[in-house]
Amino acid sequence: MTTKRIVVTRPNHDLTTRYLSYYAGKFSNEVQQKGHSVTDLKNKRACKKYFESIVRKVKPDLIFLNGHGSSNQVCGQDNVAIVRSDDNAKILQDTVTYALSCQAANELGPESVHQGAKAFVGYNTDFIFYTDRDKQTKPHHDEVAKKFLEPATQVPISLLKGNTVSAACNNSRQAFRKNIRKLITSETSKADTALLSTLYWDMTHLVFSGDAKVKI
Amino acid sequence: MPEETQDDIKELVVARLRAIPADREISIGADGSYKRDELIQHVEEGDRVGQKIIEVEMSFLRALKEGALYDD
Repeated sequence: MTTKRIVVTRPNHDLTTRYLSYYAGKFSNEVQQKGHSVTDLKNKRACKKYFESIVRKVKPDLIFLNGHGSSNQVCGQDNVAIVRSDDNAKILQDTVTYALSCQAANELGPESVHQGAKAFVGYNTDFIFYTDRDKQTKPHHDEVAKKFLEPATQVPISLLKGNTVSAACNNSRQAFRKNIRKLITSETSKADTALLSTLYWDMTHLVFSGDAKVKI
Repeated sequence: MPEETQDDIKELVVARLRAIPADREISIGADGSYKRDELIQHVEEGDRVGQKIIEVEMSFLRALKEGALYDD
């Protein structure tokens, strides 16, 4: 087995990033358990300086970016940009990147591929999810957020298993679809039917740029 | 879009949002996190967050109408 090299950014400074950080942390643990190498840039280390330094040193196969974003950037701790299309998109060259971040697939994705990234997977609009307010300090107990963030994390999990970028996206969409169908076909409470529209939104806005057949 | 249709859509979306329990919160990226009543207010005001939520709801309702949820 070839050891894969993975870099994960995990800012944690507000409610959204708390949840993203938890699920990305689970992925990092899985990477280690499978015997691969992961560099986990948590909290204050989720910044441009550390990120660039680590990527240049490690030359990762997969970069998993978590954080707030916009069309041309993904941010790290305290919403400071880590990667911007008009600044350092070239840092993503020769990698597959997955950005669990709003809108970055619009501009940063294509630009990074133009500058040599193998592929960039992300969302071309806002990534939206629900949380249970009673569980917000304990994301691991939040069954509401799980319905969104488990499918969203299927992309890097699927890539880690050796799937292509295209298959990884399809696997993530299938996971969203499975949750949607469970909510539609079971005796769902009104509370849970409210999740359906947002699950569908996230599922249909997962896209990629670059080589569909590339694996990490 | 005629104002009447916009108002109808807002009303529909607000009705759907009222199904959300008070203990749920929605995270909309960098726009922040909102409770149900805050979302309803944004929809009624028709601001950026409100327009986003309308777009999310209408996208889903169109998918239901077109049977897209049952395609594989």
